[in-house]
Amino acid sequence: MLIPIFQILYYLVFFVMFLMSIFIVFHIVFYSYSFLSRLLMLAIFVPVAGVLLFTNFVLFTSINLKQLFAGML
Amino acid sequence: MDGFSKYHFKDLNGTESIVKVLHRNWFYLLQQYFVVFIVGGLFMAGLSYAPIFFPEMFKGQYKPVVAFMENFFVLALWIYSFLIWVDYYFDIWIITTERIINIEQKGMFTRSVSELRFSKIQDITTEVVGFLPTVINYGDVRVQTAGEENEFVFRTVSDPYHVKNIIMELQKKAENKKTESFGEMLKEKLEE
Repeated sequence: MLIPIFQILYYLVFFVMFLMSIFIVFHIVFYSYSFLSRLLMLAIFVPVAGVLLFTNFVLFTSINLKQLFAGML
Repeated sequence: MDGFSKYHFKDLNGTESIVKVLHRNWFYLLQQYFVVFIVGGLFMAGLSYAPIFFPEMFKGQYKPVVAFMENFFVLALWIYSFLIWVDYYFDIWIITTERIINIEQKGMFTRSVSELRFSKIQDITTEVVGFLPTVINYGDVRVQTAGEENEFVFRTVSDPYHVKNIIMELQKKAENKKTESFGEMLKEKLEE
């Protein structure tokens, strides 16, 4: 029972992180005052956030939750 | 005015041009990032010293958990840093030859754009409070208006006295222009 709750909580937090990243990109794309600053901000934010989000998801799936919770409880 | 050609605002009138674009002072940004630097520094220190005190955490079944937590922490810090940047960068005041435009970004979901014509300005006050604002030269410029929104505030902007002078000069020009056009109109009517 504990594992699905933990997974749901993680997916919820991950979704919030993803949504925040999307909003940041949205603001940069639509509200930037110059083309160069838009390009620069996107070039800095998108690759790093993309890699971090992807690796975060991969790392979470690589955790053996059964073994982890068995060791903890 | 050419220096502002990189800024593209869609709603400028034909004769209108940008005189100054203002962001908050850099020190305000530094204050906001201070927490990020502290937390990031503690995290780096923790990463360096944790294997010495808790060697079993970085081996076996706990290794992916620690890697996940590290990644999660960096991701949260990265997003938070950009939220601060978005709040700073998209919070601007534009002084044009005809009006002041205030674009305020409050977090992710609130953005307000308001404008003030020079003819509606009643009073301008500059406020530099404290030791650091005096040394770094930043503060608030409060513009009292005759309109519904009774105050227009340029918050923590650099060189507030210069900003005040610019606004006063433009206000004078706008008043002169108004008087001139009224005089010309009167002259034309009298000639008729």
